[in-house]
Amino acid sequence: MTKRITVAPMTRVSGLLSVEVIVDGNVVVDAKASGGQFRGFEMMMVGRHATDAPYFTQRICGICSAAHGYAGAMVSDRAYGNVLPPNGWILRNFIVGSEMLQNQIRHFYLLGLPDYVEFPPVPPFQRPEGSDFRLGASATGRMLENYVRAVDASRKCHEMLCVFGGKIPHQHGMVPGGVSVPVTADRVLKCLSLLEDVISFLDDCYLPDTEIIASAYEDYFHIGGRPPRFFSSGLFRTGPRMDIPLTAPGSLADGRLEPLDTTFIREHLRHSWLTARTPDGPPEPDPGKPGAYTWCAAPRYRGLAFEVGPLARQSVKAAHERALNGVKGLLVERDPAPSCGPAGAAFPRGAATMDRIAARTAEAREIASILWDFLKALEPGGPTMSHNPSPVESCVSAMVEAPRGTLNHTMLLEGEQVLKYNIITPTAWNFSPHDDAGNPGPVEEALIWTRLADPHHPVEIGRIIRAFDPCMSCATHVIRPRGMTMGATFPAPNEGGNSDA
Amino acid sequence: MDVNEFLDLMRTRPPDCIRLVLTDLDRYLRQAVQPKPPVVWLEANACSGDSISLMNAVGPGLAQILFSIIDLRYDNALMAAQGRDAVEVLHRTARANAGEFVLIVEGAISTRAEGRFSIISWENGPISTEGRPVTALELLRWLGPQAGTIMAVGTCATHGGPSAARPNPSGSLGTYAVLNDLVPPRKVINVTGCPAHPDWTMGTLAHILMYGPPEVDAAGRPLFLYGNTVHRHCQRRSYFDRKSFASRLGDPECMFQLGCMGPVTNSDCPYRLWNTYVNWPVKASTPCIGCTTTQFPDGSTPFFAPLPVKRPEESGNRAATREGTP
Repeated sequence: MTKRITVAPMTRVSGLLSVEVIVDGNVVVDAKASGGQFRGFEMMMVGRHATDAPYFTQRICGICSAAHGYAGAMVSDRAYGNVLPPNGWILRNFIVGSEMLQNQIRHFYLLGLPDYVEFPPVPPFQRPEGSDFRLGASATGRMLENYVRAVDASRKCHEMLCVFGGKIPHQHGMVPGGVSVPVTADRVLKCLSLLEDVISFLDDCYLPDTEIIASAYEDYFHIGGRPPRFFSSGLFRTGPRMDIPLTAPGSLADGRLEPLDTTFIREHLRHSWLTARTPDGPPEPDPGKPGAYTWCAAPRYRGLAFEVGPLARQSVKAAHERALNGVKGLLVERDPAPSCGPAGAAFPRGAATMDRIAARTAEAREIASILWDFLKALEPGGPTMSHNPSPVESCVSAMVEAPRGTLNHTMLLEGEQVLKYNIITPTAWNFSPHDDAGNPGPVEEALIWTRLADPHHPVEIGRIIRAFDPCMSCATHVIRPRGMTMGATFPAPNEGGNSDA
Repeated sequence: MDVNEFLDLMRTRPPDCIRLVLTDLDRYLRQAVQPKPPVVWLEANACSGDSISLMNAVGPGLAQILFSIIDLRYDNALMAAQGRDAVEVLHRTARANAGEFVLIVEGAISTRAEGRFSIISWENGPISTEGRPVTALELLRWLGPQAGTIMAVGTCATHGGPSAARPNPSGSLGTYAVLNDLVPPRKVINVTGCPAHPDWTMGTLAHILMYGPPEVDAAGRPLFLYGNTVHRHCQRRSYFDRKSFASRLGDPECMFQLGCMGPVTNSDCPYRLWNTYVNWPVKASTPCIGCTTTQFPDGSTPFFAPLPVKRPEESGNRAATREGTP
């Protein structure tokens, strides 16, 4: 007999999210994730000035605003043919990387930790009976202390961003042409000092705390699994045109690593409150649409649901490293341990809840080291800006990595005025609903086949979902306007000359 | 009073002792029971930026705010409970603390299609045919009349802000615009900004808790925070007065010709500074974009066009010399 379980609202996420699962016995047999909000930033961008893109679009999201600012600044640069001085593109990356650290720390401690650690039962931490907390008193005490330290460490990430960003959320320093704040010794020193504090926090708290959680909840390496299909556009963008990813991009499906080709992206709208009035027209809000259950559209790559984010980036990177070592095409060793897959077809290891959490932690530590190198590469007194007076391209695109995964901005111009603006967010990928063929999105896939220990207290659902780091503010929809190309092909590994423009 | 004092007094002056004990007991009970003010943080059509901004607070920081200052009953971003349990907390607070709790609204309120552009919860689930969305509009209209105080935090919550930018596909409005037909009328204290500086949010809340509602301007904003224009206190004011204008972003002169909204923007950014007080937009050699103004962002774009170009009704001179008024 099947039973419906609704979790509404799904709290400790950015924005508004509800989830519904159907359980048969104790096993989830269907899942639907419902994004609760729509503002329509792509529609708002129409008619605005090309250089408004970074400041305007970053207001999509308060926790990853700089990622939208970064993508918006890059499409402006490409429109104006800007060639950035080294300080300019290094500072852009420093800003967006600082924001990533802020995001990952806040996600693990402020949003995620109450799923695994028993907090004192005072607001806002009161919770019902039925949670299976597994840490002893001393580990719990450590986690609560580190929750408070995390508040401080994440604040410092934003403080170092602000040195060059002016303010955050919704920074000012990243503008078309580069970054407006000059590189001086005092600023670099301040950022190095703050970063050193943050790195100490990562090493003393975040990394060991992740290990503590991962060993106490080791079964979550098997809970929330899904077919390992990932893509990544590679972390950071280097070079004067910001077109060279620092880590290798690619798509990875069932162990096969391939170049990322954005021409294979399609959107499905059957289950979204969005309808295209004409075959090639942009989708418009349609909140009463029968059969629809979310404001998210369903982007698919080669017709399949792909996961983006830290685990995707780490998996693609690992696959590249294997490819370079001559073991081309193998991502994860097949693991005989039972996983939450359909009977007889367990998912391979490497794409479950604790993998997502561990990948985010590992990547945060790598990002911190990269930021250190960025700061060391700055040259005091050198220019940080170079902006051309008029546009040279009318259709421009930027594909970048935000904290939660791949983010794409595409802009179509007439003169300096925006005709169309298209945004595909990481949340659109991960939290996409069932597609037109009825196949679930990545989060839904991760929920399906989960065995709930106690359907009256489905603690697994919150843990599985939060490991994706939901940000429903970012669930702006995909538009594929006629005449717009969304970037181009990412070259295959080992071909060199990576470009996304 | 310690144990020995107590025994001494009991032996020598029992009536005094009882009086003293009762006084101490009363003081103890007041302290122990002195409830932290209950707060409900309602996130509507928002980017969560005002919540994130509050996490950047220092003196008091977020941990102190949560553990010592307020009783944050309901907050989508931080509360441990989820689903039905979270909704129950909200209902319990509205019942038990009616007329007393502080309602803080973040984000604009979508009004189109009965508010379905901002769904907070569901009765009976999002898929089933009997499912019913619980929208931010419904929750605000239910909670608004019961709250002791209403604060709108961030320009979306106060006046619609970016969520209501043209063509405003979700029909979003600010909090007051949604509640202004209530009888009796409800006052909403507006903390504008995109996002609101954590000091503005906590400063306003502190004023309410310690001294009662603050004096506000015509836009409903506390005068002690929004009483002056950015232009009045700008570090680059001397450049403006000498008509020395920056021609490119990143230049050290006055940002007026690059779109600065400082002359018509009421906020204390030049004194306050952001993110542990290290920087602010003009110090970063970019224009103020007027994120605390009631018409943000449509009244501020194109962001880099001079004020008289984007707001022809404001002659540059008049705007630039108008000060101290909302």
